[in-house]
Amino acid sequence: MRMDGPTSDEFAEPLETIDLYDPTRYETGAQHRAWHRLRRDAPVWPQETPDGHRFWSVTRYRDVAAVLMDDKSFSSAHGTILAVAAGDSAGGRTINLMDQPRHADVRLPTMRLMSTHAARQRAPQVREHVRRLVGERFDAGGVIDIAELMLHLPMAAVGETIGLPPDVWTALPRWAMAGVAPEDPHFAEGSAADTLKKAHHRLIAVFSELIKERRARPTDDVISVLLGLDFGGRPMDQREILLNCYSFVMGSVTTTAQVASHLVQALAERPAAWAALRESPDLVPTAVEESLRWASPTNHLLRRVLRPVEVAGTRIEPGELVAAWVGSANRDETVFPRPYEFDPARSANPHLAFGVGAHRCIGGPPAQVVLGLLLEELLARVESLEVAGPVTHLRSNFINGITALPVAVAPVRTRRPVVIS
Amino acid sequence: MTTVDITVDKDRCVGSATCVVVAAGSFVLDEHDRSEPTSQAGSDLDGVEQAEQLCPTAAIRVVRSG
Ligand code: HEM
Ligand code: SF4
Repeated sequence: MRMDGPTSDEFAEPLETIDLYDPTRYETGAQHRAWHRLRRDAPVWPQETPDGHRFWSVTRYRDVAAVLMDDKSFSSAHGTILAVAAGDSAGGRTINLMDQPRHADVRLPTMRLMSTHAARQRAPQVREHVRRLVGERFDAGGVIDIAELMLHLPMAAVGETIGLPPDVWTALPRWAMAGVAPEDPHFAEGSAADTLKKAHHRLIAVFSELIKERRARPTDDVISVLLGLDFGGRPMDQREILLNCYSFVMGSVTTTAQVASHLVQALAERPAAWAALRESPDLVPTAVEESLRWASPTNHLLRRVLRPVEVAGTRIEPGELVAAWVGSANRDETVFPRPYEFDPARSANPHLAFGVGAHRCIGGPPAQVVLGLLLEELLARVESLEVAGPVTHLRSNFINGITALPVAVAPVRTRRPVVIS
Repeated sequence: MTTVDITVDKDRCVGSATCVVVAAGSFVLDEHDRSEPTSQAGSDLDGVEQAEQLCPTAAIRVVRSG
């Protein structure tokens, strides 16, 4: 994505015309100027969706964190993205759309499968998957559509953990992307409504089959754990299990791939950063954190107010919607020095790319592991890289995505071993 | 003298990192992403009490005695 920070015309856009809903803003990279302006002049910003639902935007780091950490005042059960500001039909029934105490019933047994410890244990297998995915492509060199290739990275990270067999790894990421951005021409099959319906049908068909298998033969994966857990004194029903499978797949696919693409693009455009990493591969962990801050694949997270609250000095009543813009928080100049600079060595980096609070990303550890492994393979196999054609961005106010990223890759002549962990 | 006992029930902790953020230095997440109080936790009681209130699953307990 174009990471244009504010330039001399930084305040040219009057507040009145700032529309954070409009998906085309994100397609053209115009969100950063708007967020910068709002952080400075209007930290609580009301506007309406095209359907007439009012939402209040918070853009400063401290306000975004405060909203996400106070789940007793800000509910997830109504829906967490602007596209369903009217209310999500899965509300209250799947991990990311539940409040306490039910939320913990699902989160506690599943988080064990993707803890930092579990993700590290799994790293050798994940490394093999990553090598299978990128090894030959990088070694062959030439122009690679990184956006297309990276779509498959999330399955390398958590396919087995969720319980998805490799034969669905190829098709599933596109369906997931169509499900999150049905309006984008890159993933569309007919109208947005048709695209969404097809994506859901295909995903549900795959999940239903796997649920049947796991009922017969449970193993140690998310699907099996969902089947066995105690959901407020009863097992989950079929629909609840399906919705949770959907949440885990969407949570992994729509985010991890985008961070990977943004990372590769950032390096392809910044020879100095690439050189620094080649010089000191021990920067891989900080570079991964910087790529998370930089990409912030979920632009916003929506919440519904449960009790009267004060947000950045403005009183907001129960029933109102608040959008916490993590993409903006991660460019907040009061927290991140030189926020529009991609710095692979950035050390203090308290980014909110994984959110914070009750719903903080459960898949963070495997995502960090797979991004580190990808970067290690890139460093071991590639001499230099350069953007080689038009880069296109996802038409979505929710996911900060790249749909095409042609990169010319020059392979190294003798491979260097680069293994950090 | 007042002593303060700060504990985290790891079976309830959902790894929200809320305590790590609002009481910086007083809590860390272990390798299973469950929180535990650090040796400095006693020095920022305001932060720790805020964490206790915000903790989504009431996993943090602050007990004063003496
Ligand atoms: C770089 C990659 C990733 C990023 C940036 C990311 C980002 C996020 C964010 C911001 C949230 C919080 C949502 C909210 O507060 O409403 C979240 C939640 C979640 N993520 Fe991730 N995610 C990533 C990778 C993954 C992976 C690999 C999985 C694999 C299973 C996953 C599964 C989930 C799930 C299930 C939730 C809901 C957790 C809950 O509600 O308790 N994510 N993610
Ligand atoms: S606030 Fe509570 S749930 Fe969150 S990490 Fe701390 S102890 Fe765990």
